[in-house]
Amino acid sequence: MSVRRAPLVALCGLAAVAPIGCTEDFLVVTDPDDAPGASTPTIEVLLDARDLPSWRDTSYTGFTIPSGASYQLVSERTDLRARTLGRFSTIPDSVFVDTARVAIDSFTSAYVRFRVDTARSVISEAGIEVALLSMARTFDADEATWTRARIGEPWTTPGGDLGEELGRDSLTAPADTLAEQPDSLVVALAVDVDSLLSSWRESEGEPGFALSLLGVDTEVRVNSIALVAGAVPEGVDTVVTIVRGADPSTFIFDPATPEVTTRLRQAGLPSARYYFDFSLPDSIGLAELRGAIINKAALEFRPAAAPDDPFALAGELGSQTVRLLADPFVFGEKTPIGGTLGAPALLDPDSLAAGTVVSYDITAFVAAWSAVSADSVPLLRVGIIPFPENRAFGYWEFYSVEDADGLRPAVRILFTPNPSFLLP
Amino acid sequence: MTRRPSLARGAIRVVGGVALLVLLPSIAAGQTPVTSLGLGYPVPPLDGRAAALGGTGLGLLGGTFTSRNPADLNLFGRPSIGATLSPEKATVKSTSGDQSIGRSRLAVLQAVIPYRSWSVGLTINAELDQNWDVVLRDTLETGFGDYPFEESRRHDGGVSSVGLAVARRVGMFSAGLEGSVLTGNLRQVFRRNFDAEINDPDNTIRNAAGDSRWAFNGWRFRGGVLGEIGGRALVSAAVTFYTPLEARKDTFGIRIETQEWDMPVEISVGGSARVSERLLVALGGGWQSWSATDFTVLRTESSDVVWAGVGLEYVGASLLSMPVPLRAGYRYTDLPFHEEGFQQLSETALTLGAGVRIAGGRALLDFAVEFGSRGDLQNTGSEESFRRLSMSLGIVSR
Repeated sequence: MSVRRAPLVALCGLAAVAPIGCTEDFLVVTDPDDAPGASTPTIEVLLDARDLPSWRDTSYTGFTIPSGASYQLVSERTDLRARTLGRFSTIPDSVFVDTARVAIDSFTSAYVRFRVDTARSVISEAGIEVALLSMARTFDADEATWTRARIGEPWTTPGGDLGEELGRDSLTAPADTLAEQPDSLVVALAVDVDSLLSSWRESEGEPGFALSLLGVDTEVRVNSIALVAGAVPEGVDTVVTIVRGADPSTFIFDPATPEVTTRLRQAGLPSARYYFDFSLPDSIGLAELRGAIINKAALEFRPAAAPDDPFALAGELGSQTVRLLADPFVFGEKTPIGGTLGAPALLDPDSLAAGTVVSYDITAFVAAWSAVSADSVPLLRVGIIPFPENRAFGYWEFYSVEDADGLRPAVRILFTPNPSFLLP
Repeated sequence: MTRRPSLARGAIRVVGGVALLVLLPSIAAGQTPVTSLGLGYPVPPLDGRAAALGGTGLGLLGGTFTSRNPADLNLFGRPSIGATLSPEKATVKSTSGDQSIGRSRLAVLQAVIPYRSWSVGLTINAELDQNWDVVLRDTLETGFGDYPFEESRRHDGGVSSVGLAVARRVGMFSAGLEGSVLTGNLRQVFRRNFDAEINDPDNTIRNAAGDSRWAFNGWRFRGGVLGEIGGRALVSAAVTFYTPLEARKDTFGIRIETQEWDMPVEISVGGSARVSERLLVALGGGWQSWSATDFTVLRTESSDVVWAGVGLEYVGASLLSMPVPLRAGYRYTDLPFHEEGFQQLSETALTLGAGVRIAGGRALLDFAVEFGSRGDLQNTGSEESFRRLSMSLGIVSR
């Protein structure tokens, strides 16, 4: 190569290597101990309720009572007897005929229809038979139990003071068939319908009716009750069908739901929730928890043994954490609740019976606690409520702070303290 | 259930129902870029010509946009301005393999205005490069599930200087003074981004992040002399003093902190001589008293720095009727910062380059390519090989 061409070759060479330094790549490291720079541990802690600066928990009941449940229960099992009570308090004295409202002259026929939740009912191959009876004593739907018609007024006979029988019906569940199963009990009133319905109309349904099972080892869950009657308007040669729901309606059962203890109860009738408040430590050992990034936080509750029959939770049920807006140990059942704290958990009886821990995500709640000044010492107030609350008859209990080591509630937190940036 | 407040290093522990993943800051051998050591990598204030001549840059005949000595400003006979960009490709060696990273710097920008026997100069230099970026991938095993994550630790920034210099020629000699403010900032970033749980895409946890910003402040004073020997050679020498370098953490929401470091005294000596009509030889060297700064932070120490370089410039070649000087050289320099328990790092490089003089020398283009290495993994804890390109553009007034 001549000396005169050398500059050109040199320039071409420089142009070729010019881009080499223009990339901005990162260095991939395989061992954090070999990497420079500020880092910070991500730490997982499981804090037993008793090891927290404070933890109080309790159960409250009565949020849903039988008269507010989404179903009515009729049962003749060895471990549970139940009867549905109700009144048809809105029987009209007139009906529309074409465009005119005309007074009812008489009732020609009537039956009471009970929509049955066949999936949750216990119907033997022989079927079931129910009897609709008139009550001999009025009752208060919110206060009636197996032993009393209302507070301070016991039944003459536990289970309700029953009067004359108004009608019967039976329901069979045919085996080995693809046919649609019947889902209604229709009890035709086998009495003087006009007299009975006129009486109920005049007294707003008093004293009411009761639905009772005649067999044994059967149970029926009723989703709705309706009176269907044929009414003859005055001066009109026609029959108008009227339909009225039972209002109020309830059911009474024996034995009564056990009283709550120190365990934390969920669902049941009257339905139970558990409320608690707690505080978290500002630091875990050398790591600052207050002010740290909360990667995840959860409450963990360990289920106790299944309640005795018939009170064990029978099917899956949702369970939701909510923020309490006031001190639950001051306001009790009336403690106002705020928004939900995370996705609901699913209570599965099989899983609970196996002792599987139920976990509730409270990441956002703890993160909000972490973000506030360390000068304030806010209590974290949480309620756990069944969802939906008016559907379950059974309940489940969880160990509380008063129980033994390894059983108590716990708070699991995954957190990353703020890195300490030093120079160099 | 037991609460375990203790922290472990670099591992996941499950003790008494408490799982701990601990990743603590540390520096250890193997995957440490030199820009992460101490106050960073000292960027030599060299233009393309000086870089190609073994990184000398002191008393170079013909002048250089290198700010080693303010007295050298008198080598410019006309108002001039030049800037040098120095991208670099480095291969970081580690026990787990080699990885390539890139860096890019504006090494030096210098403007000179001569007036009679005086020259006034403005210089902007990159002083300490603190840029680096590492990524770590692992899986966090917890009671909530197993979450793969990518952790990023990054430093953006460094220290620069902005200086004003004045020089005066008296006969065969020149003397110069420079005062510079050391300024700059550093942003430190930490990110740990978690993927969804390995077996449950709906099970996620929050990411972790943090950052801080430091602002640097300090002063540097430099004095130098330049002597001419028989019109064919120059000798240049400079001495530099610093005030302590202050770093102030000014991140919003984070407690204000201030750190200070003593800075070294520097002595630089060099020169060049035209040994024939077409061949120039350049020499340079110096010493920096980093060991006296008592710099020991986070297992990082400092040691004195000695540097030396030699280069040759051949001016007989031309391209399209434009003179094209060809240059080659070799340089050696210690690096001031190293990890505790390891030996000091040194850097050696073979330098090559060329220049183009356009429009009768009014526009100057100089290139240098350096092929070198720093440290060795076994003894110094860090090792890099590098290729650095220095590209200078200078404009000289009529």
